[in-house]
Amino acid sequence: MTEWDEARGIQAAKEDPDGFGALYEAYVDRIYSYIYHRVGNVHDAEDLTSRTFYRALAHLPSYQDKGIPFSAWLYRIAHNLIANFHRDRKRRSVVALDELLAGSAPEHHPEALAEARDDATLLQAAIATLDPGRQELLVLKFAEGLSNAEIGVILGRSEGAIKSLYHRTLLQIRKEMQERGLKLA
Amino acid sequence: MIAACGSYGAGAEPISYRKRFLRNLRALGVIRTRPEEFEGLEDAMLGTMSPVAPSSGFRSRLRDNLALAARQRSVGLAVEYPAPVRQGIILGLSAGVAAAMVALLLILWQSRRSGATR
Repeated sequence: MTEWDEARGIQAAKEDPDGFGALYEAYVDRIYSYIYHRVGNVHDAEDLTSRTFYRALAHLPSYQDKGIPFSAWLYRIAHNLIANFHRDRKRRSVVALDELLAGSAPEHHPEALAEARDDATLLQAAIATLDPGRQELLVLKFAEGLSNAEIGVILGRSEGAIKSLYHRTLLQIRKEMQERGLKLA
Repeated sequence: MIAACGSYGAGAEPISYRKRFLRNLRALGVIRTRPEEFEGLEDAMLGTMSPVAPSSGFRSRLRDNLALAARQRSVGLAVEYPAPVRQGIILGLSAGVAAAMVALLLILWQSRRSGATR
């Protein structure tokens, strides 16, 4: 959805109850994917995705594009709901590896698949050692494909701070992987 | 502005002096923006964190529920996320049990009164 389409879509949603559907269709996949990677299972991802869009609908009349794109606004709502979710349930934000690997290209050689699962398991284990903020950064960067600037808007930090945090995060993961004995080509 | 940015290929976007300067430094190997030792790690994370799509059933259910909620909002009703079914069942059962206990107490009290007046 281009910026112009988004602005029109938002205005239409404010004026017409059926207009919110277009915004929903434009962003539901991205928001769901982001939430899924943060909570690790389908049930909670569906619940929080629903809550995100219900909250967006309820607060849509007060939304104004003051330098924060609508997508970033949605991500922020999701981010806050996820934070509440983790606080209330006291869970660690561990990604469900089996469900992630189910979406990857199938390997016919069982040993290759087992090795791939092991490497992915080690990587997931290394990521799980990160604090939630760094995990979220990785999800926004790799699962959502957002730039440092866009991530900064969502997390309320400068682009430079995000870039620096990203660099330190990669160093930490690399260190974890090396300690676990995994070398990446 | 275009002339100041220097030459560039047809159809390419003009680049700033800063970007040209950094590109030249990278070409000389003076600086790296993407350390080689991170390339494998980033590729691995790209493969692990691929986008996940919701089921079509969930998408359509939520779309329909949101459309209903939007119409409710348009007539002045508050938009609230539906309470989980389990909570509703528990609340309903609790209310039913409480009502049954009150009714039982009333029946017992009535029967005692009618027994006392005989």
